[in-house]
This record gives sequence, C-alpha cells and structure tokens, in this order.
Amino acid sequence: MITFFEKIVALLDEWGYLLFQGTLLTLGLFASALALQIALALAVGLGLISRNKIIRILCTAYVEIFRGLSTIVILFWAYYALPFLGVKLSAWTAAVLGLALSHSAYMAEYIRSTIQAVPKGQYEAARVLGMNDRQRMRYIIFPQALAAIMPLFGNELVMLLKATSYASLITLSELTEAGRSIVVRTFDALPAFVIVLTIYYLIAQALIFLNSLIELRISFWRTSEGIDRANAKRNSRLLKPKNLEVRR
Amino acid sequence: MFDTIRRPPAVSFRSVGKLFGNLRVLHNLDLDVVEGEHISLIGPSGSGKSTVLRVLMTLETIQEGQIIVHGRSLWDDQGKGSVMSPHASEIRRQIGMVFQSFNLFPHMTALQNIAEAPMRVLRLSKDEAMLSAEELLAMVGLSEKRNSYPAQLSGGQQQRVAIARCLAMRPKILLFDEVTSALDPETVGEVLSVIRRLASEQDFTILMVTHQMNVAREISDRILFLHGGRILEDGTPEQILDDPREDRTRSFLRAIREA
Amino acid sequence: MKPWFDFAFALEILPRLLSATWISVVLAVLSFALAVVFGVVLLLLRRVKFKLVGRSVGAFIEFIRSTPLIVQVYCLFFVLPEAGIILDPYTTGVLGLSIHYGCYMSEVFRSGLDSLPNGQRDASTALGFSARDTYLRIIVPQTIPRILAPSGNFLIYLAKSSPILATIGVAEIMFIAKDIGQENFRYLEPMTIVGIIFLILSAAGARCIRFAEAAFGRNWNQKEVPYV
Repeated sequence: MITFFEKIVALLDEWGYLLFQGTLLTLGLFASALALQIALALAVGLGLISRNKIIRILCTAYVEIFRGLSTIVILFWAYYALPFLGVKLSAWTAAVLGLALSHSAYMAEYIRSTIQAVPKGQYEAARVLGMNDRQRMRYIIFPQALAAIMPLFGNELVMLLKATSYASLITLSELTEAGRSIVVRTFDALPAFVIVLTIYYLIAQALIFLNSLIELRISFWRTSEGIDRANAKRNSRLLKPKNLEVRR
Repeated sequence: MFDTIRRPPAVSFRSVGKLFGNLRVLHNLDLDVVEGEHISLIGPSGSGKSTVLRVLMTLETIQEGQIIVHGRSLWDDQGKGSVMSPHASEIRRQIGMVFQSFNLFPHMTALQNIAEAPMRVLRLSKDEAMLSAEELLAMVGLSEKRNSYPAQLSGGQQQRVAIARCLAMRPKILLFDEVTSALDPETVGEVLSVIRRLASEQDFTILMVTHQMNVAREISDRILFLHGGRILEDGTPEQILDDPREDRTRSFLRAIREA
Repeated sequence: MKPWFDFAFALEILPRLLSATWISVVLAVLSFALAVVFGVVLLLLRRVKFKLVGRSVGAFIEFIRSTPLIVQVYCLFFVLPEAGIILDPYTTGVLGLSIHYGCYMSEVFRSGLDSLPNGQRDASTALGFSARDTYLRIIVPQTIPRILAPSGNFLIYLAKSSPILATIGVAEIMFIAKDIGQENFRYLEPMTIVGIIFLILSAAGARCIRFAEAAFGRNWNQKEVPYV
C-alpha cells in the first residue's frame, strides 16, 4: 500500500500539469455546455407546454430526436459528418454543442413535467387574485416547479460531467484523454486511473454539494422541515437569506 | 364471567417494555388475557395500543419483559433484554391479525389472497385451499367477488377479504388493529357485523384496538384504557365507558363523544 | 467533394452497418443481463448483517455512478492485463458495461423495493409466511412492474453507449462507421445512418417497454372494469 501511494505521488509529480490542463478543459466544457443546455432546455421546455400547437410539435420532435440519439452519436456527427454539409466545427464547438443539445432534451422534459405537476388549484388561485399569465408563471408556478426540479438537476449535473469524457473521442484533451495518454506512456495503469477517477468523483461531489445549497435556498418554504433547516442555517455563515423572515 | 383460576391465560404480558430509540412506547406492561376473552384497547394516539398488538405479532421487538402465548414464551427476558423465542413462527401461527390498511396482496384475486397462506405455509393442496377459501369468502358475504382484484373492491369489501384471509390460517387469537378507521362510514357497518359474528359465534380470543366505543361495549368482556404506554384503567365496558375512575379516561371519552 | 448526401454510397455501406448493429444489440443485451445479475448481487450484499460490507458496497456504487463509463472501461482494458488477466476487447467491454450499469440497476431495484408499502411485509408475517415465501410470492411479483420502465430505459442507454467500446477495438456499429469513413474519406453517410439506426432502436425499445409493462400485469392496479 505504501508503494502505491508513492506511485501516485510520483505520477502527480511528473504528469501533474497534464492532468491539471485536462481538468481545466473538462471544467470549461462542462460550464459552457451547462449554460447552453439550460438556455435551450428552458426554451424547449416551455415550448412543450405552449398553447401553440406548432411550437409544441416542434419541441416534441426536438426532444424525441435528441433523446433517441445518444450523446456520442451527436458528437461524432457534429465533428465528422457536418463538415460534409459545409459546416466545419472545431472539436471544442462540436463538443459543447453536442453535449448541450443532447442533454437539453432530457432537461426540457424535466421542466415540462415539473411545471405540469404544479396543482391546477394554484393557477386558479393566482387568476382569482388578479394576476395575469406572466405574473402567475413568474411568481407562482415557476418557483414551485423550480423547487421540484432541483433533485433532478443535481443528477443532471453529474450526468453532464460524465458526458464531458466523450469529448476525448473527438480529439479533445480533457481529463479522460490526459489519463489515457499518461497510461500509454508509462506502463502503470492503475495509479493513473485511480487519480483520474478520483478527480471526477471529487468534482461530482462538489457539484452535488453546490446543488444542495441551492436546493435549500429555493425550497425552504416547502416543508416545515425545510423551515427548520433554514432557521438553523440562518445562523451559519454559508447562507444569508436576504430580507427573508422565516417563520413557522 | 370467566373463572380465571380454571382457565389458563391465552396471552400474558409480564413487565413488557419497548423503546423506539429514546422514546418509551410501552412501560412495564402487565396483562393477562384469558382463553376466549374479548379485550378492547382504547386510548389516544401514541398511547401504545397498536404496539401491544404488533409486539404480540412480532412485527416489532420488545426490549424488556416477557410475552407468553398459550403457555409458551414468545418473548423471553434473560436479563440482557428480551429475545424472540426460536419457536416463534410456530407460536405465531396461533395468532392472526387484521390491519387498518388491509394489506391485501394487490396482484392476487380475493380468492387467491385467502388461499395463498394455507397453500404456502400449511402446505394444503391447491384444491383444499381453494375450497376452504370459498367457504370463508361466503362467510364474509363476498362470494361473487371471488375473482376480483383488491383494486376493484371497496374498502369494506377489502377488509372483509382481509378478515377471511386471516381466518384461513385457523388462528386461535385474533388481533384487530383499528380495522374500521380507514373505511367510509357506509362500509364500516359491513365489517363490524362480521366481527360481531366472529365474537359471538366462535371461541376466539380477541384483542381489538378501536375507536368505535359502541362495538367495544358490545363485544368486549374487558376494556383497557392505555395512555403513555401504560394501562391506566382496566374494567368491564360498563365500568370504563359509563363510569371511569381516572380523569384522563374521562377526558378521552368526552373528546371522542364530541367528535 | 459532394456537398450533399450521397444516397448511392449510403445504400452501398448499409449492409455492413446493419450487421454491425446486430453486434451492438447482442452486446447490449448480454451486458444488460449481466448488469441485472450484478445489480441483484449488490443489492443483497448491501443488506448483509455486517454493516461494514453494506457501507462499502454503497460507497462502491456511489463511486461508479459518479465517474465516467469511458474511464472505467479504459481502466479495465489497461489494468487487467497488468494483473495477468488477458481478455479480448469484447469481453472487457461487456464487463465494463455490466459493472457500470449494474450499479444503476441496483439502485433501481432498491427504490422499487422501497416503494412497496410496508404493510405487505406485515401481512405476510401475520399469516406466517417464511422469509423465502414472502419474497418469492409477495414482494418480488409486486416489485417487477415497478422496475420495468426504469430498467428498460437503462437497457436503451446501454445500447446507445456501445460506441464507447469502439475505442478499445470492439467492432460495433460506430467502429465500423468510422472505419468506412476512413476508407472512403466520407463520414456524412455512415454517421447519418448510425444516427437513424439509433433513433429506430430507441423507438423500438420504448415500444417494447410499454408492451412488457402491459404483459406484466399492470392491470391489477386498474379500477373496476365496466362489465364485471
């Protein structure tokens, strides 16, 4: 066991820069794809429940197609096939686009189902109080859907992180590729992969943690348990609910 | 009414204690139920009355004390806390339980629900089990529903099937855990009439947790009022319901009547 | 270079791609079967009386689910030979897929079991069922309809992640498609065909899941049938 740790330290020493660059690239891919994915998912998700039938059909087609294709196929197609139609994308662009398009389809479905899960009574109550559609969506429906989607969102974050590894298949030197190139140059695979897997694991844990923080802020009003936790957290330095008085 | 000297106790609780983590649910409970006796347990929620039935059925554990069924130890205290007897499954076979939430097997018809345990546990042949299931189904008045699934039956019908299923194992001791609490008022009656018939026509020992004071009065030989894991009062229906001694019993009964 | 879809070429390469599809499908089904077995094993291990075993298994599952499949497959591909176990790429691929998705399956099974009302187990105890009978006759039959949909979805994900194995040399559909592309210097047609095949597999898979759900007796949760 001692020699194993020594091996890991030696590896980090010699190839640390490569792993570091790979991790940075992975994180960059992740962030870019996530931003694009959220934007797309919001547009398509709201389109799925639009009153306009054509928009609904288009969005449903979008979801069916991108869920039916695997992320890898989309990446490959964007990088290898698209040039033949005149559009030449860099590996980075292809990766970000591919990841975002593919995962936005799943997220759009989550958005649709959480919005539709808000009880119909809420719509009626808002209308009766004089709100118009925009206000109703913004102040009543959307917050409730948002609270419901947070656990799914956390899961999706980890899925996207894992999906960035596919970029290694279209020649991007992110973390997986860094690991692989180290392994083919040294002849000791296990320590290298242990490091790579651990880095992914740590990033995933960090994402889950961040998500739970957001979850807490967003949904503290949903259950008395949430109110208790929010009250407890109020005394901690991590969260300061601004101008919110939390009462039972 | 019962000569306790000659008839041995069917069920005995001796200094039974139960903890749920740090919460004490049963407190040094002593209880003797004579063979053939009908006992009702009443009391506020959290008083431990369902727990009494559940530990008897070994659905929950006890940490202190002893429970004896027909002369055999079901739970034994050897000084280091109560342990379930290795013969528990044999002893348990003499006890049957009907639940508040029916717990019918949704993937089987009414008839199959009743016949399943005799087939698997008593190893009856399918024909024998089905035959006896038909009889029991007829006894609770649901013969025409024999091929219906629980989802197709009303609450009262499901509960009657549940009673028939329990009887299929020929227990000597029946436990009823708030069996009418989850039912619509219209269907409560049909279940109660089955219970009345069981109480009057056959020689079961019955322990019943209930909120229905009229039923308790009608079929019980004794009523126990539980509070905070202890038996606060123990007497005949007339004694408990008409003239309780304890204040808490009084206020509980008043609250029930006002509801 | 023709800036559009060459249908003649597409037709030419179709047979080769279709036979590779078959390989991918077999691979997926085989890996899925193993993943189910592995998932059940993990589930049982988790419930072992020895708390340390249960917790380690839980940690293992968490770890596998939080890390990319590619890295796990590479890991097996490079590490096993060093440990003296020499497997062909196909077997290594199946192993990697089975372990990864086995962890997911064990979670699916676990939540399926947890969603069963506790009363079913109570009733079984009250009727005197042995543990074996309780599980075989009461718990498992009720769990299967609950886990059909999620399991089917994972089967579809599995099938669509076969391209990952192309990098370790398994001759599945994406490997062949890239091969064709490299030979002919045209990637558009093979890649598009792969995409269409995947779409068809997804749709067919979804149809099969719905069929399986209907066949496995979801109907005992339906209310009164009109003419009874």
